[in-house]
Amino acid sequence: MSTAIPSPSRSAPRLYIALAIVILAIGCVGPLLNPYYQRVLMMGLLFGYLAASWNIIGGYAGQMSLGHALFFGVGSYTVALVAKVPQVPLILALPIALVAAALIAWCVAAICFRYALKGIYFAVGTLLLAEIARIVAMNSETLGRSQGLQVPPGNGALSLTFATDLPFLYIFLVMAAALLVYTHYMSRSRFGYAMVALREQEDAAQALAVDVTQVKRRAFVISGTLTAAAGVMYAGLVRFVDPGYDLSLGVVLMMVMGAVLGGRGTVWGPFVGGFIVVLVQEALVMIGSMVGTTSVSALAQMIYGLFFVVILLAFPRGIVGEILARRADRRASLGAQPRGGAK
Amino acid sequence: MTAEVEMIFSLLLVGLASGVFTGLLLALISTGFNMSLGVSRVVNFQHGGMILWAMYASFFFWNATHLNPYVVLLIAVPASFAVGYALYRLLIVRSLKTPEDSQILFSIGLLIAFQYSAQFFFSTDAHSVSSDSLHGSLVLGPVVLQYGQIVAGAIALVVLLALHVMLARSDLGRFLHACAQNPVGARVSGLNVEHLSATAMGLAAVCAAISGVALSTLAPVIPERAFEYAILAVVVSVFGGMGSMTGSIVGGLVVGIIVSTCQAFGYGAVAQAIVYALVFVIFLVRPTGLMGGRA
Amino acid sequence: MTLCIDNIGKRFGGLTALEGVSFTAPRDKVVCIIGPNGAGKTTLFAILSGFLAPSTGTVKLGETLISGLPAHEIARMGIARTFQIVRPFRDMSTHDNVMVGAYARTTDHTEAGEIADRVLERVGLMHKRDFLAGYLTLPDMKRLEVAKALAMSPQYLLLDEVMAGLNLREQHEVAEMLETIHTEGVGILLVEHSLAIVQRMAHHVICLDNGRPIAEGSATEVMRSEAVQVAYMGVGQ
Repeated sequence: MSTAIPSPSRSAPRLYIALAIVILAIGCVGPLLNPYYQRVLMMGLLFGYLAASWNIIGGYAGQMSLGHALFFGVGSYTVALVAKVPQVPLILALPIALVAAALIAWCVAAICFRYALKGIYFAVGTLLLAEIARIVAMNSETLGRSQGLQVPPGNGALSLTFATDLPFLYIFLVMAAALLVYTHYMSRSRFGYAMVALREQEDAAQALAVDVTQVKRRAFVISGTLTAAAGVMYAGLVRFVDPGYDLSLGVVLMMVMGAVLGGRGTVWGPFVGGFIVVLVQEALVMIGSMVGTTSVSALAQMIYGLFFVVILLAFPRGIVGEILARRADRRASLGAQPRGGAK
Repeated sequence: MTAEVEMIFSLLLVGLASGVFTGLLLALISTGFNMSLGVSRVVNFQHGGMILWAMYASFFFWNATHLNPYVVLLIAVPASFAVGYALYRLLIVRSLKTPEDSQILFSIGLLIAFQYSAQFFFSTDAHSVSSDSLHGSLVLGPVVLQYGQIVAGAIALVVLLALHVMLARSDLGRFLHACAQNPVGARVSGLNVEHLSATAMGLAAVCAAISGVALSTLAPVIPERAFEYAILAVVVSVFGGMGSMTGSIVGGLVVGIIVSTCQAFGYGAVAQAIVYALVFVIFLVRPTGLMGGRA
Repeated sequence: MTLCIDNIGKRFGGLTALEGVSFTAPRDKVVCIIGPNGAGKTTLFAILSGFLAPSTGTVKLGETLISGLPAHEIARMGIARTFQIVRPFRDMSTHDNVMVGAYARTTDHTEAGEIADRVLERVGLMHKRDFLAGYLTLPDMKRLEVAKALAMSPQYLLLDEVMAGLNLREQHEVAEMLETIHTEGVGILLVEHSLAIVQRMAHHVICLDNGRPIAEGSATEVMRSEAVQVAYMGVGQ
């Protein structure tokens, strides 16, 4: 069962105009902010991107993976490992991580979908795989055990080393914009329709020549690879790899909450949702530190947990999802007139 | 026997003995989890959060009074029942109307809420309870068992037996059995579904509370572990069969022995990973677990 | 290419769901499968469309063996199947539902959209093009089921109790639509309970009972046969 509305009907020109406005706004305002707000903006973009990459398997294809921390970790750990090799520019970590993530994702998907793991079994199954990875990392000397690994500064841009963090704002902005455009075209393509169809009614999709196993696998590989890219850039920014965060459920939850809050299976939704999740977290931390005691910051986190709960009850379709649903309702109640030409 | 074989043998014995007692505790955790699974049909991650709450409460109580921590159960049992019951009627029943995916996320949200609310209320860095009344160990040949372990296992066993007896003869037991077989049928069978479901959730919370108090005597209270306990509950249940009470016991013992044996041989950290891998394989091949019914 | 079913049998453990089912379904004849509930009709369709593999026997499309192939392969080869209980993609519009089928023929978004529009015209759903499929009435959902399948330009349409839940007038409307589709060259196999429709549409009827064919022939022949009357214990609807 699904609560998401696909939006293959959005026209490209409208998308590009909206995107251009957003890029200009962020691009121009960004440098003017103080470093703290810059960081918040960066994280907002990053988690918007992460939510959107999860959205491909979790929103469009409707298979809830709780193991995406595995791919985020592949990204960040690759950076730390490449950093250990002298003379090699860190940027090489990106293609390496992407290939590694794609291979791992392919294997996981091949196994899981061959055995038709679905619903809660797929969710917990992927979670277990991520947990195994975390335990391995926590116990491996090469991977830094529980302290994690440092990523020392390198030589210039090719090693993702800059004078300030500002370039990362633009990196994340470009990544998010590219993923947005990709998601738009994907949702209109045969692949996009196949994913939504199999999410809604797997049997009916098969009867319409959709190779369900292959489509799911493809969605998972794309999603995992995109997530790994974010892991690479994240490690480049914070210069530190921590198994307790990078490979934890916490990261996945932010991605998933972002997608759910914004609207699973929509183009803009996860970006909006991911941004909001980051804002909420920052607001809670700020409140906690204003009052000063650790106990209040725990209260803040508790509110964060309840926030999940409330959102899931109040906005099952997510913010953007609700908007699209209202629009569809209005169309249905007015009685549709045949619309000519492209939408 | 050569010295090596003797050592392996005694390590195996240690693993077995220790594993049985740990396993009983795991069985209790899994039983409580299975009860909540029976009425909500979705994995209830918040079970781990409730366990953590009980661990915190237990430590807090012991720290303040220096009495045997199990005494806190006098308050904890009724309190946790009330919490579980209310949780079902106020929140969980609403989440049942949302799709399965949302329900999973919902339970994770509850886990986080429990975890941090415990931190907020008890607000201290807690360690494990080292009560004098539970100090000391029992030595049987090569096997050394901590009293704390034995008591925990024994209490778990008593609770499990009590639950079994109680469920075998009651409406609630029949209802839970029906839910596991045929959820829709159970709901139209004329039993007071809301009340029975909430009661089941209350009992699940009680199991979590007892497990938590017992755990606090064996392990330090680390908030991040709430999530691990939640996964542990799932893992043990899958081993034994989701929704099967007997399965919980079998699963608990199997997992307990595997983990303890690995620990005895010095591979404790990896033990978890091994268990997770086994569970993943079970998901692929027979998802309802070794003794469970149809998925 | 013609669909040939040869000695199909299916066992589930000790239960024989189908045995000895053989017939040919030429493209220019409408074939109806009838029989009391539990006779194995839907099992037969599941085998023909690839959702089940037969225990014995073969299904061939022309010279190609299709039994044992996965469902999506068989669909790609031209066997389109609808389901007894309608399965629209509820969160997609009517048009987008049909596009899923259209995408079996093309990978281009615009072309798929055009195919979908043409199919919607043919089945008479154009006025509800942008409705969410979940909001359609039952007769419209039935048309949508047919439309989705039609968008694949199939060689055969396998319709499983497409008339169920429709009143007689609605049934005849759907029958008219199907007859038009049939004259355009699509082979039709119907599993049906509605005797009025069987009488109207069927060129060839096969009656199953307890998994075995008990009568075969024209609609009138089959319905007059004693075996069929006994199987139904009184005549149909």
